[in-house]
Amino acid sequence: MTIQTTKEANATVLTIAGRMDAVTAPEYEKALNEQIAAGESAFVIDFQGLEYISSAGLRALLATAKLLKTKNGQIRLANVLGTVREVFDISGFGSIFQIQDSVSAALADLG
Amino acid sequence: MTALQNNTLFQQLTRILNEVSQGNTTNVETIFELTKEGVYPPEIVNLAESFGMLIVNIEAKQQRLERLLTDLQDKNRELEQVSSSLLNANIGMLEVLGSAIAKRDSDTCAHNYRVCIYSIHLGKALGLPDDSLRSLIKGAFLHDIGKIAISDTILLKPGGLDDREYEIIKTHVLHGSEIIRAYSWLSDAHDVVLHHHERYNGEGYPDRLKAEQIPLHARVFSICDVFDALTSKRPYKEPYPVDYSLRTMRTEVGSHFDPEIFDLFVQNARTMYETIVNFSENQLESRLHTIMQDYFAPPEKIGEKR
Repeated sequence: MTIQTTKEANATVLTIAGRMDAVTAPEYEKALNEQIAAGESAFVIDFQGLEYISSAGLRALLATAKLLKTKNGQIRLANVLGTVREVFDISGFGSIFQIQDSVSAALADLG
Repeated sequence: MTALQNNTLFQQLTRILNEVSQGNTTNVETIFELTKEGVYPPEIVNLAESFGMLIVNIEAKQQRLERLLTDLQDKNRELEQVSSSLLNANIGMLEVLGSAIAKRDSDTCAHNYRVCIYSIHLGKALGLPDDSLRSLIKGAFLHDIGKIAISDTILLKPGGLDDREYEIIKTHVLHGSEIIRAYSWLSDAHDVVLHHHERYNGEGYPDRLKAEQIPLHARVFSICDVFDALTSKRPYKEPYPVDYSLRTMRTEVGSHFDPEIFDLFVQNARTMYETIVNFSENQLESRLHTIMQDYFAPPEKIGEKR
């Protein structure tokens, strides 16, 4: 899994590609925690290149959502497609995360 | 991976699942560890992954519930604030109306405050429930609101009133009734406003009601009203002592006053009088305001206080 971090005007965008599972999920958590520790509080996670997400990956997402809530941070998910989208829907993530069709839509939504 | 190692992993997974099913989640991480493809046998990975998804589902639902709860609590707080300010607005209006009447009349606000306080104490001694006491308070506060419709020449006439003038003054209860009927929150003040000049023997006004026909609140209030009139200073008289006032009123038990309620009143009259006789208008207002907050607080708070 690869994670690219881009700083936009109103948020930090993490572009994730590859597989997010029990092996790679810790990398994601580390990357996000570093950003939060540095003071960032608004995030867009771009799932365009994500091929597969396992339960461990989903759990990592939940953990960051919970952490951000305590810090009054914001998180948006973009480009959640295909089977990854199906998994999200089944797990009820739609009611915890705001999912947008694109990174620009997500950035606009964050205001 | 040997069959033995496979078996051990399977047992480990089973053991952790048992723990989780009994509410012990200390080793949940191990389930997710066992989902690592390539590291563990496929059967273990698949099984662990299924359970992992189960756990994720539960945690997701839990997060959602927690958020809903927080939202609800926020909304509840907002509602409580709205409720509180509405209530304060109503109480404020009540106080303002009462003062407006007092200014119109030669009576002071202090009389209004005192009769309210006496009425509340008498009502409590009678064992009236809170909602009844609330109505009594409203009625006591606004009992003379109808005087606003009486002309100065009559209302503020220094000497006595002739028959015609007296008939006009008597209409203040009808005017009062009309005024408060317009607003539902004040409608329970009606008993006192309209009937506080009825007499137990049926010779009062406006309806010549007799004994228990007279609404309870009105019977309670008229005792307090007359007591305060006797024991306080007026333009035409000095305050009469408590004993004298009570003796005078006792001669009117049965004709003017309800006998049982009067007996109850007498038991506490001296104490009440001595408590507030030296209160300034501000102190009276303050005391009454506290009582209002007590009896008019939003429903959930009322449960807490008592």
